[in-house]
Amino acid sequence: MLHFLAKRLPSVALMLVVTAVIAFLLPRLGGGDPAQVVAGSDATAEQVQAIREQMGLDRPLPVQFAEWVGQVATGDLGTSLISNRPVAQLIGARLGSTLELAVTATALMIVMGLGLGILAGITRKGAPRALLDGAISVLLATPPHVTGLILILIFGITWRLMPITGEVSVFDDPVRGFSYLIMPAFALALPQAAMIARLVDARMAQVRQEEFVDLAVAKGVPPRRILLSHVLRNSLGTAVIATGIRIGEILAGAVVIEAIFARQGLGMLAVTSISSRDYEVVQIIVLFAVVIAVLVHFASEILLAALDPRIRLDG
Amino acid sequence: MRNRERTGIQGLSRRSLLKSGAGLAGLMAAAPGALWAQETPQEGGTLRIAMTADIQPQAILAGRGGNDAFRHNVFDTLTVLDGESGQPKGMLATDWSSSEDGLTFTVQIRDDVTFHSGRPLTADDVVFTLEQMKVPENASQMRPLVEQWTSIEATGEHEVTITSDSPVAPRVFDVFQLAVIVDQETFAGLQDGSEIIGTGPFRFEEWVPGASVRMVANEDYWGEGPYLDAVELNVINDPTAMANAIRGQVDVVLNLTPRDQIMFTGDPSVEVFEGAGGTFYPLGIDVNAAPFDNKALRQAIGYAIDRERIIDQVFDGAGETADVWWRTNEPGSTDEINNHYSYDPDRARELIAEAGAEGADVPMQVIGFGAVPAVYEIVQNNLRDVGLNPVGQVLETAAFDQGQTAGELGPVFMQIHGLQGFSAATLVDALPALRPNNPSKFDPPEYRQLKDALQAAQDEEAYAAALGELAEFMLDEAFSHVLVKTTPLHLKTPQVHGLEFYNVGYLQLGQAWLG
Repeated sequence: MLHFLAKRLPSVALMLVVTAVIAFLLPRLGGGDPAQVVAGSDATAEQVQAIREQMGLDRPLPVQFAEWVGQVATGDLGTSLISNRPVAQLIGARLGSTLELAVTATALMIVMGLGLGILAGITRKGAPRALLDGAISVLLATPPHVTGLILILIFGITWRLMPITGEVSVFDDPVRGFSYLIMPAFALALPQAAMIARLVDARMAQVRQEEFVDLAVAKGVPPRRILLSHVLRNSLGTAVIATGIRIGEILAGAVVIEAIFARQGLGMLAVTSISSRDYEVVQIIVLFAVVIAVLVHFASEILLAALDPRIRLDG
Repeated sequence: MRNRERTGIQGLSRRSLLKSGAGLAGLMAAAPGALWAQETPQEGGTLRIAMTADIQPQAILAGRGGNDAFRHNVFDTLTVLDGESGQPKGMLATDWSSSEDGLTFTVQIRDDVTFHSGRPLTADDVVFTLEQMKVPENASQMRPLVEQWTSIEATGEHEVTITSDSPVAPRVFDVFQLAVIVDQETFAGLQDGSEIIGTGPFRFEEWVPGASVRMVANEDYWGEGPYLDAVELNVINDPTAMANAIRGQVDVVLNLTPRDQIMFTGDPSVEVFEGAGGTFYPLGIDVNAAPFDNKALRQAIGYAIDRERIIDQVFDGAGETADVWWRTNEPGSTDEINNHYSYDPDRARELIAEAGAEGADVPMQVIGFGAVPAVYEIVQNNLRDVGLNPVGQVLETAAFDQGQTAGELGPVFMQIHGLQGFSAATLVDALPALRPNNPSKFDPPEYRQLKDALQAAQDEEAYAAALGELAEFMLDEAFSHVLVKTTPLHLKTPQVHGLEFYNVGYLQLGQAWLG
């Protein structure tokens, strides 16, 4: 596995450098000015210029970039231009909320995705099959924010069973924490779970046509064992890869879901930082997102190799 | 100086037009004062407030929406402005006086006030604060006024004297409203919010930027109260999620959208009320850009816009259709002035024909903030109706603000301004739409002379005359049309009592309590 990781190091390093350049340039190309945000919309040109100089934004871009890269390389994530707080502190304060949401949504996605997929895979005809197909299609077509609003209307406003905005950490109060977490996590996980279910279902149908399954049937292997050991195991590789990709989707979807459910996670930090042109925070969040995506991708590949003996990491 | 009555703080009781559910109907039957003040305050509890914008401690000397519920709870000012009359009321100031010529202004300060650090407040702290208003980095809208003062001196341990070449009062009270008295020893801590020391009824305890603020009761507060143990400010950026927070997460929601208030119609557990302060929605015109350099065309735009429709369709009736940039009850305001441009599409067409501008393109830059894009939809419909061809571009706030600061927003532009509640004499040099270097590029000598006359007026009669003359000139020149003014809508649960909003919309919780 070390060889596998070492082989990918140069491409990862290159990707991080490219990401750093893009993360640095992109917010600056979008117009607006953090000095203007701090000075306020009523500010005069003189006030904005004084604040721009105070922030060091009047220096050439290459100088600012070199300084930022140097800082990050030494573990200093910089200071927010808007709140003047360390970026690491701002991210640290929000990370827990997003992790709680992402982990819960991922768990729900895997459980519901595999459950629905396997159920669809073994239900091959009749009304139950049509029902499952219909349910998966509806879930696939419904974006998280629509699901979130429907859940709020039903469980938050009509029946008042769940809190609809805010959050409590599950580590501070597990019961209340989960009551705040369950609706946003559900909204986030449902479309992704449907996608996994569809893939597992399709892959199971495909594997059933393979010769080794026919051979097993001819040898009189019990259907249950054929399903579990031959069909299902050989269908899960697709689900593992899809799950890795879907985790990225969950993190992206968290931006909208955090807004709807008033959760103060990294997604909301990213949105407010972009709108207030807080370059220092945006840069780090983009880098952070890329690093997470790379790690999840590695984890998917390693898990895939463990599931499928034909794939070798070191090969 | 003008005769000002010291009755400043505006409690909700005196002004609020309450809109809410059935539960509130009974309350409305009572005298308004009884709604908020008659019951005996109960001590204890944490008041939880939801708001859309985060605090900005580094801009505490400026008017900022995020600081509205924060600044007067951790800090105090010398005086505050009354919600209805705009008159000053003493807070840290016990008395003030003006010299005969108005060029010297002296204010006496309470001698029993300590900062949250335990250090006694002295005149030096007031001088330090007022000097900080001049520093560009502190971004105070009152900077141009303070810069006109020739000296700010501590003339006693608890006395400050201000001198100027032009009359100090009455605009000094607008400066005082923004000048929360800061602790000079810890002022640097405001930059990152690591140390926020004031003299207000609550001590700052914690700030999670972009998320929340916590303040706890100042047991050594010089005034009455506070009754609450603590106050939590929660930042919720999504307006609908913020409104929904009243269903259990918070006790007060500040500045909800008119659209979201509909959710609470008939809900006895939630009260909707109007606060003080508010927002202007001006439409500016570059007087140098052809064909808008023709005054008749600029006036035609004023007559073409159906302001009542904007109020009804965009703001659900919560606002007024005044044409002036200040309070409609400011001395010198008349109905003719306040409603100069009533909706008259025929008159607009005549003026457009007079200007030879039939079918002219109207390139518009619109700030993509709040309800402005929705207001634009009605404006463009109105302009099309009178034979013009509006071509709008909605800009993100950050990009629009850059153009506004630079005074470059193109031929026609739609802005949004706060600062409602300050005097006209102050606003004419503070509002981006009206100040020198405004994006309308309107600054003829006569405009300056009329502003100077208003700012020099020392009695109400002279002030009213000067304001009337200035208003008529500005309306005739039609370089900026105030489309509508809206008042902020807030929510609270029936358990919340004693909220006080100052004239410009700042919330003070020293007398607030939970029933």
